[in-house]
Amino acid sequence: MSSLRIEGACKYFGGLKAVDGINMTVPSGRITGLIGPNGAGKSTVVNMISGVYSLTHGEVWLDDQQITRLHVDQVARCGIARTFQNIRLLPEESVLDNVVIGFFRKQQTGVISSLLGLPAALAETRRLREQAWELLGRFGIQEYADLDAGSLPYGHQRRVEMARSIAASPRIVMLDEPVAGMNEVESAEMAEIFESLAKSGMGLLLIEHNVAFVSRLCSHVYVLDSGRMIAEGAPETVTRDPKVIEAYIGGKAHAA
Amino acid sequence: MMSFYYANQPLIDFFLLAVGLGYSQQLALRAGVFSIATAGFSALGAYATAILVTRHGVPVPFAIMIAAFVGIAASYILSVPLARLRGAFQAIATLAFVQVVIALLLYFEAFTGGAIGISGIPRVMNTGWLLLAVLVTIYVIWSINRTSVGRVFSALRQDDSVAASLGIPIKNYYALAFVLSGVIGAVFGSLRSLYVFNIEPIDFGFHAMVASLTVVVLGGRNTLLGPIAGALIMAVLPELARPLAENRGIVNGAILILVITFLPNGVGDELVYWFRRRMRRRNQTTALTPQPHKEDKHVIATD
Repeated sequence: MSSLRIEGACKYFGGLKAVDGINMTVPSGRITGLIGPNGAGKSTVVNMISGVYSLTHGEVWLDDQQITRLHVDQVARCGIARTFQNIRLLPEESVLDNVVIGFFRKQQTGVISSLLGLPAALAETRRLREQAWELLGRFGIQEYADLDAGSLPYGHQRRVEMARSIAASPRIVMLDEPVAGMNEVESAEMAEIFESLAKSGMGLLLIEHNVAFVSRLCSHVYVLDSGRMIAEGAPETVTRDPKVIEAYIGGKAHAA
Repeated sequence: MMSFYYANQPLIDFFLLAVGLGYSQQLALRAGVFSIATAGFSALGAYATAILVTRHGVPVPFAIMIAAFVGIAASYILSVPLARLRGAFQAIATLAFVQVVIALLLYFEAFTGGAIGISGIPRVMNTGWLLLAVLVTIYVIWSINRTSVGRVFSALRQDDSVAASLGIPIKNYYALAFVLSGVIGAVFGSLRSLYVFNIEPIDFGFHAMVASLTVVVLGGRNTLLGPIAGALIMAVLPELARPLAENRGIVNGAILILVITFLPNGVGDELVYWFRRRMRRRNQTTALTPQPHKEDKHVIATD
């Protein structure tokens, strides 16, 4: 059973302790939640794992491989995929091509066969386009395949980005606010997809604001506030934790 | 047809050379490398060929091959510092590279002939060979566009941090784009030296740099048609403006400004995009009428 582990991870920006000594485990085959109010440091954690930020202290492990000091592309090639909080698609490419590029890690033909236009490279491109087409079907956005990705509405762009991130069947995928801007029906559709991904053995880290959505899906939830881990455990217990309620609602309010 | 060719042969040959250098320039830009080093690479290729052929009696095909290797080596070395720069800083660094090349050509007189350059280069190039070289270049770039390397280049241009997050070793691919640009530039510089009898540093100076950049700006930086359209305009425009005599420069400049303002993607790219939009609309109208699911897949496969 492979898993992603963060041990004593800190990220300081000068005097600001954005993330301060957190421990986390994201096991494969499960959906793990990371929640917390705005500015808690959730996205910083994602950027630390994926190699965008270097850690001030602490270590990141994927199984028995230390990935703390790897570059962004090396982390991705280890099998850790991500989406971005502020959706980042290739705006000039079609929706389909945006997903095709996600298969990069799985490609077998090399640079030379691409430059010479060898049949193997062309056949691979055809195959990847078909796989991308199927993936679009899974996310219910096949009808937009030919459109420029930049022209899609917000919710659909999120789906394209998720399809791209799981294209190369990563071991761990970190989804940064995947259902932001989606309505109840749409987020229920996404939930179904996440569950089937977890069932297929992928480890999901769900970074979310929506406590109800996280509680429904996750087996284990971490709560981050001002860079510190204030609670962790099963969603039912965590959401009743007075510290969590205070962090979210502030002061003496009741649990929603 | 033939009489048209004989009447305009030099124009056609220089058009083909401009197309080749245009592709060298375009390849860097489409991968998001803001390089204007093409003129420098073509100078290296031209001088390598001229020196080898006139002084050492190296057979022409070998001289062209060595020129290609000089282009690869120079661009690979230059790609190392360039990978740390972005945007306008890359443009300035490559501009400096071109200036350094010109300065060296002027300084090492014994080796390069200084400001006078090298003359007596055998004229072995003709329209046929130049056309062949352009076609080979087009084939390679067409292959790139249809396969993995082209996808990576597009991703680099649009958002290289996304490319990295998908596992793409971005420095290697930036270097690849730059080396491809370098080798195409050097080869067409080499072919040029085998066409014009004599070369001198000024042929590869600021004017040459602006010329190949203009080909891409006018024509387009993403599609295969771009440099062809750009070079065509550059070749035909001076002829059309000929009656205006001294005012030709003004007309050239005015047309450039008009194209940049109203067709910012370049004439060639705009044409291709327009055609694609038309095709897509046609596909959509057929898709509106009920059709079996198989049709969808067909559209994707042939897209």
